[in-house]
Amino acid sequence: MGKRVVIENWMSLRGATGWTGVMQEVEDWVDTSDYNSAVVRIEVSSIAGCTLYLEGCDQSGGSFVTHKAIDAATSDGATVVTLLRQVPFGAAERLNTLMRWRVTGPGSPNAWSANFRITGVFK
Amino acid sequence: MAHTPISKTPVQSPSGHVVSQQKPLPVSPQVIKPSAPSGPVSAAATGKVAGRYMGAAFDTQDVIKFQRWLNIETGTGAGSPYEVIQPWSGWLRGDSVSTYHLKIQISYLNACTLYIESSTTPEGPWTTVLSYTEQTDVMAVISSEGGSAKFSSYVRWRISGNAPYQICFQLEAVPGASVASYIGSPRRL
Repeated sequence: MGKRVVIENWMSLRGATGWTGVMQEVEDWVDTSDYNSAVVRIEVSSIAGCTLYLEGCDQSGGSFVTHKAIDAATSDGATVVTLLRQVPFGAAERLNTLMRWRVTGPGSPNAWSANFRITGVFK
Repeated sequence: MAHTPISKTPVQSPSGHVVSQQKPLPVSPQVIKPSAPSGPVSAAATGKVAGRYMGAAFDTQDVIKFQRWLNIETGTGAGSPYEVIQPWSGWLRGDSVSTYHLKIQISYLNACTLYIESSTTPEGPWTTVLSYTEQTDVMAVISSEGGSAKFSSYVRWRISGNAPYQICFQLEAVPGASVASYIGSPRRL
């Protein structure tokens, strides 16, 4: 059995024109350095006009890579992402030291909204 | 949030939720755990946080999550007044604090008003300290010592409007002296 973690409990967000997005609070980013693999489940009950990203990063000041991007076209209720520590560096499937989510609007003049939950099992 | 308790290691300044592909990460963890309040949030109960920001040492009070991201969409009951008031357990206490810096983020607001209001007793009467009628991302200063944004013993938020209305917002409070940035760090599993 791995360690089950609620990365973000059900979150409902809505943004108006000019509000480009919301990022997970830094103190809630997940430090996965003690684990070698993760299975992350992203449940999206609704999403419109924006994209939900699951991202990872290894180094202080480094760039985040996208593990998964979900928008209205790709949303399918629940999405499972499997990440491993030992894969080629830079691969999206690689479990990075830090994990976070963020939601960005498309920069269009339309409002956006997203309702989602992210949980994970870490081993 | 049903999170596993993780040590807080202050360092970086997310200062809000501006979306960015890159964000500098924490470097020098120091652990200070705030005590969990059971009623209105007292500034003294949040503990102290020390760390580094932009290379310079700082020592400041912790940030109080006055209200985490909350999205409210009322039903379509036509035109009837409808209020939502913050639960008592999340109210700020003003007894031992002379100044709060409030970070007010309203990502969406339609047909309602967000009030920050204060009272000397839990029963009221409540006086409006700040009010917002459109989306915003600002830092506001409220004081117990006077001025236009004066608070007393209890501070809470309230939303009022004629249904249907929608609002999505987050409120953070930093007691005491001026604090430019929110300090946080990733939680460790």
